[in-house]
Amino acid sequence: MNNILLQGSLHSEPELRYAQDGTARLSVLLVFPAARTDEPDPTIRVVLFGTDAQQWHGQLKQGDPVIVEGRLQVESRPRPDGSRERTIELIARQFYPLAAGAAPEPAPPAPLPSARAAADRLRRRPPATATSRPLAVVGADDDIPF
Amino acid sequence: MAQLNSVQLVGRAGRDPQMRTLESGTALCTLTLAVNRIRRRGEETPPDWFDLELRGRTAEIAGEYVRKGALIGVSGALVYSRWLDRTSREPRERPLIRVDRLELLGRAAAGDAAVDPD
Repeated sequence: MNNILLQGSLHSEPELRYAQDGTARLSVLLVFPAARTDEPDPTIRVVLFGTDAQQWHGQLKQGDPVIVEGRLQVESRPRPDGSRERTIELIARQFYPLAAGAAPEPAPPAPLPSARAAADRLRRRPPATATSRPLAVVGADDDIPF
Repeated sequence: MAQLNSVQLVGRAGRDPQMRTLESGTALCTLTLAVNRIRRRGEETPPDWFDLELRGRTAEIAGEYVRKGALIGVSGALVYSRWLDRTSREPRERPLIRVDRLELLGRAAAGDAAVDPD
């Protein structure tokens, strides 16, 4: 088993290339928070293959906040000094774009007295969590509205 | 701000755990893990090797029970260890998995011990 869910933002423009056998390959850098606040945020290369790569190309751009789901793959590359550097790539299965500007939404205007009863009824429903909204693309029909 | 960074791996320990104690007294355990890729038919792919770091009680459990070749499952976060190269003074970084949960899944299978490439 090899699974990762990683939240960050796109650090480069996604690039779409084709291998000689015609396989599409979308490649983009993802920056995510460092474990320690005194360190710069690390970046990881995210790669998506096949028809998914073609579908996502054009829908993602530099700076977009996303959650990426996939697996980790270790690549070994030679350094100029002859030693080898091991890096990790994230082979993506799925992107979950987060709503642009994930900052909290402004508070809604105070309801008029006539609307208060309706608002009270609405309030009894379980509140949507902060993360359910950006992920609604995936399971938009999960919440039954009654 | 906590953001989603969640890794789950199942694989075999590449060597016996290396134990250290931090100045704070916390146990620190480092381990390598070989994780097989899903094989396509007729394709032999080498496993992916990951460096694991465990702390505290989880590190002590690993030190006591995990041996080279043991099948383990871990969950944790992807982090980067950073340092300056001693000779070139170039910044270096190394990805590792900071483990917060360890599952012991089985001992080394005979003739199936993982071999660490390092």
